[in-house]
Amino acid sequence: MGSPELRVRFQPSGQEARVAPGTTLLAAAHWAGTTVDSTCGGYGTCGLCRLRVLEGDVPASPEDSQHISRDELADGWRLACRAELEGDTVCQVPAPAEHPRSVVEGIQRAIAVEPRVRIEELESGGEGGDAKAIVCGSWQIDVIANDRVPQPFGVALDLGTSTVAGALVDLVDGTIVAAASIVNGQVAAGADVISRAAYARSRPGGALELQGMAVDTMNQLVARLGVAASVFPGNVYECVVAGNSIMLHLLLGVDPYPLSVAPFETVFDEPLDVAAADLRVDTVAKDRRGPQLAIHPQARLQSFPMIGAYAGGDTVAGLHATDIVRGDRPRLLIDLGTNTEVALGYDGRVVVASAPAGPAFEGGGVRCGMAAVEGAVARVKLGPAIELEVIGGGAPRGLCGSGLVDAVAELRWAGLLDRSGRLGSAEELTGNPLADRLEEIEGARAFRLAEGIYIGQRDIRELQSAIAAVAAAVRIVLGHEKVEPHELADVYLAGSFGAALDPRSARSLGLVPPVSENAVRGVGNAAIEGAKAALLSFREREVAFQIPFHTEYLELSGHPDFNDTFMAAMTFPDLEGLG
Amino acid sequence: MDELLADLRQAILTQDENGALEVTRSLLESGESPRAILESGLAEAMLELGRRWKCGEAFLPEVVVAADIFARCSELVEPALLESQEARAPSFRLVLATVQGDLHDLGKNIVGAMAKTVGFDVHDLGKNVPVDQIVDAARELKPCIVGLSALLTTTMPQQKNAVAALEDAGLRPEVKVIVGGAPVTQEWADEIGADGYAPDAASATELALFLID
Ligand code: B12
Ligand code: FES
Repeated sequence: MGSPELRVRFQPSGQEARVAPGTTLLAAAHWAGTTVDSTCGGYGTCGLCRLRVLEGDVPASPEDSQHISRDELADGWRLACRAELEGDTVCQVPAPAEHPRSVVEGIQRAIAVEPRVRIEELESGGEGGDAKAIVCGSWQIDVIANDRVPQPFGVALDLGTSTVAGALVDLVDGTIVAAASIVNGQVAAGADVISRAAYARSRPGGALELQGMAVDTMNQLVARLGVAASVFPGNVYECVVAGNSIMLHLLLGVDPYPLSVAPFETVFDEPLDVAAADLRVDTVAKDRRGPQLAIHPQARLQSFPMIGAYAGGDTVAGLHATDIVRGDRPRLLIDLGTNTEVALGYDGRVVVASAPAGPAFEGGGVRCGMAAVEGAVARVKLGPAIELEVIGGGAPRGLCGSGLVDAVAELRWAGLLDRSGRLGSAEELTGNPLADRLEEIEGARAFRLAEGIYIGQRDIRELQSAIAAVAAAVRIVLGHEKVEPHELADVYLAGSFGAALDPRSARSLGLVPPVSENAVRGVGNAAIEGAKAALLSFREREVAFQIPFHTEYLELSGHPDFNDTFMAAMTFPDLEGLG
Repeated sequence: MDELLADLRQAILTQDENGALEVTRSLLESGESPRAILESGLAEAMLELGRRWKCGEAFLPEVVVAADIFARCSELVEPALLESQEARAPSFRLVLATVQGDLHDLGKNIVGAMAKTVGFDVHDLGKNVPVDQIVDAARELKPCIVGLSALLTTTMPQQKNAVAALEDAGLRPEVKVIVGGAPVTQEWADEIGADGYAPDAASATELALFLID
């Protein structure tokens, strides 16, 4: 994306933003952290976002004349939500009269509840006299008699390759009334995004078939959320969706083939605001109607913008939730998965790379690997006794990603595994209390963790490649910005795997850079946090949607340092150095 | 002598570059046959490394470094080999490429390095190689085998295209085609009419040797 080149300053606070040309003054104010009054959500109807341009040229918009007098216009007054920036600007912002109603916690910060969905008094006169309108931005969703106006809800979704997570949100007080996640119905068509794209091409209508599966999954999820919270899906008026680029293309019925072959380009990357009952990109599918998300029939669906084919709406949402872009100290966000996004942000910009880790973190390609579901070993401690933490508490059936990372890290600490990742043999390790657990299976060494559960030498290699891909991306991103690991204020691990991971194990294997243990924090599904923030507050949404303009995407394919860095990162850290 | 050859193998297996070069020089000075150095010393060590790779005991960094040491030691042996006029095993040519659209070449490079150790004359066309270029190379270099690597589900069809294009160019069945890369399977190789598939570099050399037999 282009770099933001315009500078805007807001008085009296003196807060500044750098933004791309064409950004509205209102969005720039949100980015800078300056509150400008508004109740219409930036649609030019409330007239509350007035501010005065002191320096710079900001052309008046047609809507200005409805709220601003001729003299005031001449004096520099503009509607911030309509004014598009063309050059450096300084403005004076009046103190806001209205204060946000309530507040919820995101990751790291409070969010004022100012959703795009609102209930408005209908201009009285005629039959509308005792009815209210439910609007979403500039769309009127419904008109309902005064005494029947329901509580408005919204749903935030993260459409992931393997799972779809959702939160049902009360749009009046901002509470999450239900949250859940389910398996993406598309998994039948392939485990990773490339396989999905290949599937879409492998048969006529393949992309639409995958779109149908995604929408079915979302509908199941929404239904489940509705049941859990006793909310009628017809009272859900907006859906905000984050998701990786291939998922967002498929959701809107666009064949993602170009994202899966060189030069890996998106078909569209802008945030789209579409009818929930007709999911499609109308420039791509002109006549055919798209499938329907089963919420209110007039509801809107808003998708997140994308940075590129391998840094999608989920990355933008995660960056927004952690707000690493606007901080003044360098912070790192690592969203661990098959494709792991690594982002380094500070001072209004962020550098993102996508590491092709492969499926090991999700238990794929690993002999006793499994998803993080009941029966999976999630934590391992190798002491005098072997302590296993099993999801659901029953007998262990296999290892999920966090269990695998723990186990391999513990094998390092126990002296059974050298820095190159080679598992010792029982003969070499006589005297080691765990040596009797080393066995040979199908010609390869393996460590018996529990009855029938082994960590094989090849499994360790799979994990090593995955870790090396991530560590190489981290090193290249830090190197690009000349930031040393110890300068990192925080390292956020996103994703359910990231949250479940033991920071000590992650450090022992070099999966996170050498920072202090307390600097490493699991933040869970950051993408859904970001989507929730966007759903709850149009201001948050504008800030989030600015992120791609502040992002530099670092391509690792063909990066001159990748191969050497990847290879070097395969060697595990020296444990003594870690303390 | 045998002891020195064992030292040479050990030096390669532990990626001790200086040690390997030193032992190679001592062997040459003491009059060991260059062929024995190459075959019982260098190649034997690489084959062992290949076996260790197969079961996961050795990994990417070791194999890459060892292949480099192998190449440097071979250079030392080369002049003596030419001078001694020892009969060399006839050299079979192997053309390797990562198909178009695919930039993954680490695996293919290892296949090439291992094939060299058993005496293949390896011509590596690099990565992101279009089908035309593969056909041209097959026509001009007259290899026994063309090896095609693909690491992406979406670049596998290029392997199919290449087999078809070699067919159309009338170069088959003289030129054999083998395919590999993480998403590739034996079924895929059968489906596209390739002559073989191998899951790793050690198996790839075995397969190549089998095909020229
Ligand atoms: C390193 C890597 C990269 C590096 C490659 C560097 C390089 N110079 O090779 C870079 C950063 C460039 C990269 C980029 C991408 N990658 Co990549 N990459 C990997 C990674 C981590 C390791 C691959 C590797 O080198 N393995 C080690 C080697 C030694 O093994 P190997 O290649 O399998 O080779 C062995 C065998 O297959 C066999 N073999 C190989 N070739 C041949 C040929 C013959 C003839 C024979 C007989 C045998 C044979 O022998 C070899 C040695 O034993 C894997 C994930 C993983 N953990 O495996 C993803 C992976 C392959 N990449 C993937 C993806 C998606 C991409 C990108 C599209 C992602 C992106 N962010 O843009 C790009 C595509 C770029 C492009 N145009 O190709 C996916 C593919 C998914 C799919 N279903 O297709 C994987 C599986 C990761 C994932 N996300 O799931 N990648
Ligand atoms: S008019 Fe409402 S925000 Fe600008």
